[in-house]
Amino acid sequence: MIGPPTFGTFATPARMHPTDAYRHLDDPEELAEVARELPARGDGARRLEAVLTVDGVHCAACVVSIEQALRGAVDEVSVNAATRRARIVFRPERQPLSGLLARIAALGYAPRPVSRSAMSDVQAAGRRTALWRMLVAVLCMMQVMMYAVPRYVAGPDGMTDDVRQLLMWAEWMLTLPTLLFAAGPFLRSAWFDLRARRIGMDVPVSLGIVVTFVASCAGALEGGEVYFDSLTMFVAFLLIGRWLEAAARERALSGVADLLARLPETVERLLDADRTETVTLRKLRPGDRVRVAVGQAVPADGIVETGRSHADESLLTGESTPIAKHPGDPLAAGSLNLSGPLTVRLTRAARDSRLQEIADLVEAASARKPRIAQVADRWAGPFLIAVMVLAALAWAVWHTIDPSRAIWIAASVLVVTCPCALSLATPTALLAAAGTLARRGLLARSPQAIEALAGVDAFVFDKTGTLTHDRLSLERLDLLEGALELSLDGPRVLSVVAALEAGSLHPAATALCRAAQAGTPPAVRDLEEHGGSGISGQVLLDGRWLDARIGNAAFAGVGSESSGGGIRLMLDGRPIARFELAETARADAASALAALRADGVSVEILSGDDVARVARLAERLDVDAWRAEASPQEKLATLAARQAEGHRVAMVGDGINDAPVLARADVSVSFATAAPLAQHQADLLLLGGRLDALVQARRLARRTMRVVTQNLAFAAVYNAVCIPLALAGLLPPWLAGLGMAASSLVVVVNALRLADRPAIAREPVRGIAADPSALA
Amino acid sequence: MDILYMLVPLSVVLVLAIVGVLAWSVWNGQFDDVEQEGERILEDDDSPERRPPQ
Repeated sequence: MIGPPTFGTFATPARMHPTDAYRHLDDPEELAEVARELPARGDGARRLEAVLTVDGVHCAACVVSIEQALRGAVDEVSVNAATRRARIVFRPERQPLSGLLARIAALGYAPRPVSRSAMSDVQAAGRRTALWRMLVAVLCMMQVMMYAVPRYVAGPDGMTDDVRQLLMWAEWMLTLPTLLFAAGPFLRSAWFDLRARRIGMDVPVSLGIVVTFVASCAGALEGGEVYFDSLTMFVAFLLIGRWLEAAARERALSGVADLLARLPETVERLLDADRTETVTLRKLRPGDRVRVAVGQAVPADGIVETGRSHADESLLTGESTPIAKHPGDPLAAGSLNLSGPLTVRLTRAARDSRLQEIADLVEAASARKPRIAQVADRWAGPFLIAVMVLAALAWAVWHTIDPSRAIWIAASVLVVTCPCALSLATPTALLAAAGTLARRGLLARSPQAIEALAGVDAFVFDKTGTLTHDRLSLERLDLLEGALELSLDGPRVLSVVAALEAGSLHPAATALCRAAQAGTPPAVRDLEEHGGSGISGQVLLDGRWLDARIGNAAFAGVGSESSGGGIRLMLDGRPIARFELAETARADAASALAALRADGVSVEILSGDDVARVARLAERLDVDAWRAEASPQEKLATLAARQAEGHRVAMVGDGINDAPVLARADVSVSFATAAPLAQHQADLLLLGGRLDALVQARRLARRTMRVVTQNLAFAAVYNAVCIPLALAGLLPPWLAGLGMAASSLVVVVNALRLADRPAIAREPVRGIAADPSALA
Repeated sequence: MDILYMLVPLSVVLVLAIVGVLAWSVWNGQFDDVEQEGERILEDDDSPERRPPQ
């Protein structure tokens, strides 16, 4: 069946009945699908965050009008023209989502809340429409050229008037679809702009199109000049440009979309030992057992129940080395099962997975607008007005010089100027960079973070959990004289310790328990934990109950003269052993810090920990500037002092406890811990626990800002060159259309250099599967 | 010469027909993923329902 070509239909159903069209969104379940609950503010009212795609947003003026329409009704709103995303924070009790969407629709845009399932459909439909418009324009353009050629070649006497009229009629017939359907988006958005008494980017373009068309119609009727060929040609060029630009933009965003697109749509859920049913992702509940085939992505966070395999977690951590997975190991949604079938018991529903959290954050960040873009937006309005005035002047002046050229010169001026390049210059670049960063395991919470990171020349690191792993490990075990008397060796001592410390949550206790080898620990009784300083109790050794005390030197009862840190074990009043615990530095800490210094960045350690430990770590990492035993106030003061010296400081710390210090820094980075990502306060989140990512990120941020500068410079030069050319009559309308399309394309493509796409590790699959242990 | 009065309108109709055919192919998803059909032959499982992750 031939699909109905929708010539001339300007209104979508949504626009005819705005409120009804969105009413279903007020249903609590639907609302939960598209909006995220935010912590309540002082008055305790519910606050929700939703991300919308707003079709029809092209430029700064659109952004401003949407923001104005919503301001007052919502807590926060920011619209990003590059991604066509709007992020709103609203109170459902005061203003339902349907009402907000209706307001946007009333301005002439088509807003849709981004829900995970619907997103790809919307994009596909948008892509098809854009392609279809472009094809119509190109086809009509080609045919109009064919009719125009005989008119030009024949000259005034080579053709009878009847034939000339016939060809003009044919041109007109094929210009109609171009004008009414292909150029529809330009005309429609210009119309809504004018009705709202503002000037958007499409107003000059549409004016150019309409003026040329009307003048050509008049020409055809009265025997004057016709420009149908120019008209179809520049509409076609504009659409080709816009189509390529949309494809490029989508590619920049796809880093994010990829995250969720990787999840399978349906999952095999185990009913019992050997029966399965196929269910959709949404139906999965914690506790379900699902089967994950080789090459499939894990649908939700869970734990391996049976099977052995390797998983590629690069999507979540940026770490591309496959990780071995055995029964009992946690498995994150979105990781790719590489080598053996697995049965996974889910611990969380699909919508609560880590991957979803990451995608939500990136989604919210891509809707925020970078600061430089806001400056460009402010200038776009006055610029457009200036263009219209110039075009009018050009027409008036040329009307006196050469009336036959006045119309198309004015049209050229209108078409060639394009603040698109100007307003796309920044957001596209930052977006592409954010996508690349996310793939490398670093999540930017807002575009500003990248902007700020580029300018950073000093890094301040917290110690625990940042340069070191946040857990301790046993570094040294000294057996003391008591051990000989009771004839205890090292492993035996550790098993005693493990028995004593088994119930404690103190970090030192967990470190000691980990150090003990598997074996039967001796029986213990009367255990008592003394508030962080130690544990006392009795332990059964060789059939005798001995009094045991383990803890710091003072607690254990050894005099303070030989203290010097460390944990002591006393049995029956005799010193048995001394344990030295240390934090382990992250494997890449030294190399990452060295790389930062090589890039000319100063590095400093700022820790609340005691002097000896910080000094030892600083020495190992070759850092001269460090400060220990710093209270949060002192940390703040140090940071402020660095900033006063003129440094732009990045603070790398624990995103939850260090929040005030992080907030003070120019840009803050934290490791994503087990806590929900939204609780982290930092601007940048390290997902994979690798400090290297920071070094790469800073380099990428600097490259990004270079690209932004190039883009802005290009847009400025383009306009400075083309407007005078158009005014001088050297630029026919078709060339103007080509120029405008090319200029936005150049900017977007330049920005795309920042988006790298590492090949997804598919090939190693076979290599690993060849390993017999993986198939077992 | 008179044949032009027949041929020119006919060519207009023809172009509109081609536009219609294009509409059919676009809305049937012929251009949605132009690379995938070429790659499908390399997939192990070539039953049409199974699409590789995009």
